[in-house]
Amino acid sequence: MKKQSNCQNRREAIVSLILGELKPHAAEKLKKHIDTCKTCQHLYKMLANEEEMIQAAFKSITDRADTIQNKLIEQFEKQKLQPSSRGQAVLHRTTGSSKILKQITKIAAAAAMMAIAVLVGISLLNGSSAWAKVIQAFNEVENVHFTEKLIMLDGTVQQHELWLKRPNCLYENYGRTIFIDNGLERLVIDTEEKTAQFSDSFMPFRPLEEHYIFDEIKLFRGQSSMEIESEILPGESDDSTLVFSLKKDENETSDFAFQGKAWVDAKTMLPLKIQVELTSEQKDNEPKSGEIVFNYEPISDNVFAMVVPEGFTELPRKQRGVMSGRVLDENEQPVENAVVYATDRAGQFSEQITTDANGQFIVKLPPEGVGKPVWLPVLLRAFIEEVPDKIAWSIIADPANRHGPGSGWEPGGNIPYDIANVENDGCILRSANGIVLRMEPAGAIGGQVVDADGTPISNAEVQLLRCDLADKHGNAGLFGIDVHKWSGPGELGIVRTDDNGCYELNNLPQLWKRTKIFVRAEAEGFVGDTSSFYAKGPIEYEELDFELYKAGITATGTLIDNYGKPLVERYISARINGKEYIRTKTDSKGEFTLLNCPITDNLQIYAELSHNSWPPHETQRYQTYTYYPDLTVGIDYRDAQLKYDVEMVAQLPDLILNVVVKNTSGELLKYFPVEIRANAAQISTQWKVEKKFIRRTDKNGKCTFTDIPKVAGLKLVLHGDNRLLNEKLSENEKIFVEENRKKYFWAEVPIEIRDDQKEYNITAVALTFDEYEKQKDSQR
Amino acid sequence: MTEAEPEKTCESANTIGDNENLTPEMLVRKHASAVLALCMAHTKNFHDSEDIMQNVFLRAFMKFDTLRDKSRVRSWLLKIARRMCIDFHRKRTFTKTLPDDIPSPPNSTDEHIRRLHTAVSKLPDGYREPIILYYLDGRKCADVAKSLGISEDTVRSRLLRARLRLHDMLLEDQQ
Repeated sequence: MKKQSNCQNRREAIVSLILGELKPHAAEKLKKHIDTCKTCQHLYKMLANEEEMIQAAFKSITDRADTIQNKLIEQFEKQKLQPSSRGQAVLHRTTGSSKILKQITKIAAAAAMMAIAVLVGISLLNGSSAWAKVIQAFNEVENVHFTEKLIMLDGTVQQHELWLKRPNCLYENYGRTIFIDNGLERLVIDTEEKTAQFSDSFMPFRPLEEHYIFDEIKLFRGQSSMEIESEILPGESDDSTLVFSLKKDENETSDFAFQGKAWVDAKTMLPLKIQVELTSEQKDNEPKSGEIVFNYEPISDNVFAMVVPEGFTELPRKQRGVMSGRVLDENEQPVENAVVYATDRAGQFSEQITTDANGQFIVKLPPEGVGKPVWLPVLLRAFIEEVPDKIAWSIIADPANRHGPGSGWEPGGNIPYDIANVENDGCILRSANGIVLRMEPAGAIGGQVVDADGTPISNAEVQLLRCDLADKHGNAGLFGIDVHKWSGPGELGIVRTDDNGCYELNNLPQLWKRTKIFVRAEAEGFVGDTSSFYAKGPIEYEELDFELYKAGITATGTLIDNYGKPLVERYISARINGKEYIRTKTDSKGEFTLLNCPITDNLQIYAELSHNSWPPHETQRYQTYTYYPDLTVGIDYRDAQLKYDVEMVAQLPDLILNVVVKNTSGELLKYFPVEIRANAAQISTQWKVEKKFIRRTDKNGKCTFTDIPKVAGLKLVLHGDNRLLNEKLSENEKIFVEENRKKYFWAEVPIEIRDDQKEYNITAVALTFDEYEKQKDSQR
Repeated sequence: MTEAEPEKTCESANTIGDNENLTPEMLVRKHASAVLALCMAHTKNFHDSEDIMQNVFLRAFMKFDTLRDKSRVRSWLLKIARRMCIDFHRKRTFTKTLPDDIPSPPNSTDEHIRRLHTAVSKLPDGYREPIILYYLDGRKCADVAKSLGISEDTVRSRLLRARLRLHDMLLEDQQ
């Protein structure tokens, strides 16, 4: 028996031997054992065989990784991306989809980046307020004609031309490819292949305001990495033209440097010309210099004329994908005037359309290449506004993966996926035809919204927020589903309360099963409130009432510790009976302002200090976190007073505890495990570990705990069985621990804290099991 | 000595000489397999991993300036990768299982490979990351530890347990 359990323990050692992770002498020992033990020998052989197979399998991935690597490098090379901000303007065109990235042509050259960097970088520097005006003026321009001339390393000249006319005309000439878009149609001309192709305009999906020329500032927000110096040159400037010098030096993050000049119209503050020259070492494909000329004359519509040049082949028009189908009632009859809502999983795509007399509908998808893909799964709902208890709905999912394990999508399952003819590219929907939506009974959530006195609030907004898969106790689970657009009718699924404060969210799919559903109510002048309920099965009607507090209290204050040190970036919230309403963070001085807090004498300001809210991977912040006990401060409420100043003083954990552990005969107990505990969730685990709130007494039976917080229920725990979890012990210590196991009983010693005392001496007496029983008997 | 050596190689992989000369190529070459491994651990799917990996490097280039300590490139990249994988899961929670996507080399025991990947994808998250990184990225615990920002001992113990579980699963599968 014993032998077998030992071999069980050897399993890990054998694995580490196979993986070569075992130290030589241990390996020798184990090998000897394997020679003699059949069980281990068997395991060793099997693992060794497997290892070969595993390594071969991973090798196939590594090979594949190499090909991707090369592809990726090629891609970067093509676009001349360097590790600096220069990449950004290129990158934003890819709009996050690597599929599109793969298709990017060589349209973006580095010098364009140079010029854009000039426009952008400086706007972020405080010292260059004059240049900031240039940026502002440029972003408001109506017409712009932009010619860019780049002199490349090999002496060739690249020329790009852009015409932009608000509100929605665009002409982009990147040499090989020309894009023309007039708000209605789009024409793409490939000058090398001599082809032209029409498609629907991109403008409804990517308006001109989002063109990178205008949009670039957003990209660089918060990243003033381009430290460009700009100065007005008084000698060269005159009344009509201002001349700026531009300079960017190499710095530690970027080996890219340039200098140049910009000519700006003094009246309009619009840039007229920018000339920049590379001063850092030139690399392949990097332009030696670039010149951009701007023109703001009104642009003739002829520029945006949709004409296929002579000798070019016109390709068939690029069609957009659609979702089409029919809405039927329970008797298989078409439903006219039903509104079909289509929303995708990411919540970016949302369309609604009404069915015709045959119950048919067609929803057009955004054109391919615009960078706004429709992600599967897509939820389709159809209902008639006047019929609140019926809904037809379905979900379009990737045909190959509609029941993906752990998809988290299904709130309890039973989702109709029976949709025909889905074309998709992975998780991106291309088209779906022949959809049939059948009417079925719908669920509803309803209730009343009242204020603190019980008076109904009319015209309050109520909406479904979220639906989380829950465990059987109703605790919300990992996957949440954004369902705010699910209920209807009304804009975004928001309904308003009537004169009696009543609301009803109708036409809900009855799919809830083991889900936690969150509903939020908001009304003007009141503090919004989120309530939730747990649905065990499909809901027909669920009642959910809200009691809203009037908003208006402004609480300001500072959060410091008892040594006057401000506590920075800690969460402060306004709470009523533990429920949080408003939340904010303290600033760098520990100051905070909570606006529009509920008006009530129950209002409490709560500082969440005991929990390290930084995730461990934000190493520095996570590690510099100092634990304090949570702090709750009530306000000195007076009727009609809306402003309160709150002083919050957190107590630095600084108590010291000297512990001596004895047994009843007065003998000091060495290496006896003791622990500091408090009421649940009062002391953070991180702090407990850091400050070693679980430790053993020294050889004299003494130990000292420091940095103990003043919290409720502070007590000393004697671990009588002489064992602690996760303890690393030497062999000798292990023997000692085993010898002394289960001699003493578990004991708790409450610690009484006095306001003026910092250091406490405690003598804890450990009782043996017999003594404990005796004591208990005598108490009886 | 055996301890020190992997440490050293890891160090040299992390500190990219002088950052002045850091090119995309170097960044990709040095860290691609680790990033891919991590993506695989999360998505359990090759195509998605590939896409995410591309995005990770693009993102890395965009944000390169914000990285203060350039010697931490690797763990930083993996951090980005992990976030992106999480985002990916949020966006589309449908997960593909590995087998359909893994192209296996011809003449190899396809069946074995398929079984292995199925087993790996069934491992708990905490085990999957170390084991995939281990096998895809040079088979050194020290490297994996640095990449994941956890101690070498933790990596080793997780790796061993993961490997044993894998063994159990493969055995079960066979039967």
